Amino acid sequence: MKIQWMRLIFQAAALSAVSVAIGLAVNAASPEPLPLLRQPVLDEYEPWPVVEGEAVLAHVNNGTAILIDARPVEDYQRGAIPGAINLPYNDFQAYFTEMSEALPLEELYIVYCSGGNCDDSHEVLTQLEAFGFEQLMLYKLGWEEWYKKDFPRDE
Amino acid sequence: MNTPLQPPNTKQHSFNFWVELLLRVVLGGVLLVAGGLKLFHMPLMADSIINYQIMPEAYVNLAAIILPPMEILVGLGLIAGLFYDGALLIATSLFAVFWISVAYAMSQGYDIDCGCFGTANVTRVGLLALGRNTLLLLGSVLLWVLNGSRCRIDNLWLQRSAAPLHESSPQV
Repeated sequence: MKIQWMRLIFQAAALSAVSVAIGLAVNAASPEPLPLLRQPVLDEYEPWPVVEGEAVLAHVNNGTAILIDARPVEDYQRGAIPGAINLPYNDFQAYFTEMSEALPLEELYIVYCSGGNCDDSHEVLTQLEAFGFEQLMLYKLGWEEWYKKDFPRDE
Repeated sequence: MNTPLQPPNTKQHSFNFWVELLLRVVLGGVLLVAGGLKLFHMPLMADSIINYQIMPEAYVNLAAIILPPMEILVGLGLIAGLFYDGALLIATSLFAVFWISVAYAMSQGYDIDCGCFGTANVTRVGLLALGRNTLLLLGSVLLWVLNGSRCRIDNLWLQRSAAPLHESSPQV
């Protein structure tokens, strides 16, 4: 096996460059072109109102909403939004039964999980909805954004 | 004592030639079909990639835009022997990335569409997808080992470009 490295690198680079050009052209010509850089998940449709980090911080400071942390217990114990109640998606029934008396139906609830692509908050929101909670909001960027923005946290 | 000259093992050469050609057609064909099925479904491709949660979300669209034409070009390159070495390098890298992605998704317990052939053939991430990717990766590695066939378009212009150089070399 004899490899000519310069030729190998040139060919791979040329193929990559042509691929990029064709890809960009096809994308530009398609009826719904994708943005080159994907925006965070905030733009995607959600069945619940989506709330941003600054608004969550305001709710935390003013005490106008109850925060629900949908992550597993171990993650919650490592750090959480101040005052957040842990209803882990993977053991929801047990935790909800224990906490249900402290969760009035008429309050506003903001549910979050790890952020980005996590679905834990969706599962908990679905469960809460089934139990009759109506004022539900989703903090979609969740713990990842909260941590990156260095907002106050319980650790 | 001089050892007598051995005649070339033509049977072995012939076997390697056909194995290499078969692998090139199969691997190139798989890439060609996979890329062709995804080329005009880039948003679905982006959703498939994001489900793996293996790369930063911001760059998922770029991957979805570049990957299908790259698969097509590399597939054509392998089959026709055009920019063959570069095509084989990219093909091996792609198969390795596909293998790692599926293995990672399995290790995380994700129940997701593998996104291998767009919407035409929905295979969930699992042993079938992993086995298929293993075979493709092994096939591409075997092509590196067998890398000796003259049956490539590349060889046409390599021979042509070698001739003038030889002719114009200074006379001693």
